[in-house]
Amino acid sequence: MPKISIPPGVLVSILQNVALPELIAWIKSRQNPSDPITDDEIHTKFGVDVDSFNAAGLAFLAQFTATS
Amino acid sequence: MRRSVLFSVLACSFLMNAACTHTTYPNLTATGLADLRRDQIVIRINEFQATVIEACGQVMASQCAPNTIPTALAVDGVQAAISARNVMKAQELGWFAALQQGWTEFKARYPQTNPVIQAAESAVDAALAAYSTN
Repeated sequence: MPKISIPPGVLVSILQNVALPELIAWIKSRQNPSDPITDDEIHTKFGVDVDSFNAAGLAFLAQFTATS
Repeated sequence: MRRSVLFSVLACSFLMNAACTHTTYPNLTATGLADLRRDQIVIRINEFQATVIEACGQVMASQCAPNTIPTALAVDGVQAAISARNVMKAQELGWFAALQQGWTEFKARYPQTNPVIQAAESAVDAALAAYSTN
């Protein structure tokens, strides 16, 4: 079984933003899944969600501006 | 094998969450740690926004639901969250000072008595503090 190395703490960030199946699929899709995963690689791949939360915020605000 | 990977990841997740309160990440590079702290700020801001929206309840006639939170707080809170994310996204340098200033001004406008929103605010504060000591 390949040994997978994810920097401590980074996994916490990922799991708050990415579904587990997506994470596992990505690990398996890497050219060599047993290579250590670097923090830069993680952030490039996943990052954190900005756009969808902005869209949700704007949709919420639209309820207040629609009738004013 | 698939099951083993799943269990490994879940076990790591549990341990990482348990260790999260100590906020020590010995295997991260300085850049990685800064990225992680920055991500944590975004996550806490996202959670704050979600908390405000939920606390506002069903909006009717441009007002939060009766007996929830002040409408002005809900609108300003979500605007503050959007603004914070946009600052982080747009500014590679100087985003932290700009974000911190905007966040401080927002909190000064709305001293909290609502415990749920207060908790979400404190989580953002903690993430900002962790980044500043990075």
